[in-house]
Amino acid sequence: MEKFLATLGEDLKFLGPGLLLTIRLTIFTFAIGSVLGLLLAVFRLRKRGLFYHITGFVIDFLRGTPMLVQLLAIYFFVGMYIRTSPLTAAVVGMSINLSAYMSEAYRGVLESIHRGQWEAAKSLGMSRLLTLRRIILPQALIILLPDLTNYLIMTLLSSSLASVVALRELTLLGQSLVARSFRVEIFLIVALLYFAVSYPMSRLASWMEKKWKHIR
Amino acid sequence: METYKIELKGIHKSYGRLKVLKGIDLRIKEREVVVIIGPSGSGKSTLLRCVNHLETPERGEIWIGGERFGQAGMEPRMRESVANRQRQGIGFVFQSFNLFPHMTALQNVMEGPLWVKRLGRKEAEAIACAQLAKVELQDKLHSYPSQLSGGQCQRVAIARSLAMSPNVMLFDEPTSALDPELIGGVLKVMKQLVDEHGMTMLIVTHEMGFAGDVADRVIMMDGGVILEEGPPTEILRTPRHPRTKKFLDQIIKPYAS
Repeated sequence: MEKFLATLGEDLKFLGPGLLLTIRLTIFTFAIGSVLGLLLAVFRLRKRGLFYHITGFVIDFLRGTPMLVQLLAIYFFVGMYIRTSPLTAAVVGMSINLSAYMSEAYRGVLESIHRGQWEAAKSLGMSRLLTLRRIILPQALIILLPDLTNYLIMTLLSSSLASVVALRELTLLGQSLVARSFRVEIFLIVALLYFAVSYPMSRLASWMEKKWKHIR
Repeated sequence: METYKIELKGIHKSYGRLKVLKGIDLRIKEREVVVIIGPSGSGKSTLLRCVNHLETPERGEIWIGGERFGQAGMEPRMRESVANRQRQGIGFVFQSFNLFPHMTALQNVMEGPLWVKRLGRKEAEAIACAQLAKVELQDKLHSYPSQLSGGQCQRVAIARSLAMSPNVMLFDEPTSALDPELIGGVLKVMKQLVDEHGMTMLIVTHEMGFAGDVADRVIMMDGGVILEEGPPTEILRTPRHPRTKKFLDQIIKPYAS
């Protein structure tokens, strides 16, 4: 134990940049993925047309293949034609994957909002776009906020997969430290660092769930 | 030639194979109050929803204030924007209120003036406060719909429609979702609209006493057609059509047959 504590400071110093990169990757991915997912869901509200069917298939494909494989494919396949940094490949791969999952979540909520809300807005003379912006999306986001937080946590945790494209984030740094020092307990430190970020977020999610109960 | 506020010509509407409206002709004069009665499934709600194009009829024309609603022959997007403008002049009150749950009563009523009419915030708020005072909810401005009773919600919904200063009001069974003791408050507000504002109104309701009180004309619908129409005393007291008579009997004494 004493030995563990003695090296802890140094370990954290080594892992610190990895944690920061993990957080950056998570934020980029989530920002792009959630907006892309929302746009997908909105443009897929009318269930017809070529766009609807093509995006439908792509979403199924992204949800039906492992993200690990998707990341490898983007990094190595796209990398053959365009110079791709590990961070770019990870952000692109992960945010596309996330948008597929989130568009389905958005769609579910948008559809769950009662038809009467659209009609009431219509009867006031509001256009479809204005209705979406003022009436439908705010309600959808309030309903989704706890879920969104859970997606954010999911993004944080699955960002460890980015280690396969040689991105020096938390997991990869942890692995390399273990490989160098043969101290397996490093993985415990890595796990605790992830938890230190995800736990407050999951508490926040359940707090929000309670706070907006009256609107659901 | 007399001009009409609302004019429906040969309205047909069906859902799949089910024909809900089979050629409705209806003319409503300015300031006239028309009550539509009839059994459920008779098409009365659909007819009302066709008037402001919440439903689009397959055939027939709708004229509001001498202007063809959602002009035919236009490109769909254009038609929709024309319809949106025309809807501003038509208030619609739903059976299930359809208030915006994420907004307070005040915000609900302000929404139209603020975002559709593009008035300033102060002006919109003044209009909303005045309308909410009219429906006696001046002390509930900052309550959310979930904190209000059904009757209060419906009065907010009426205020929300009136805030757009419409010249026609459509009511789709406004009291059907309410507990009996809350119906009076809503009917009172509607009666006030008739007495003080001389609003042109088209009302679908099962409140026969109210119909007899405010209606200039009562229309009996059944099976997608207008069965008979006339002054309330005539239709409600001495209906000619046996189906009207049967319908009224069922409403007054549901346990009799």
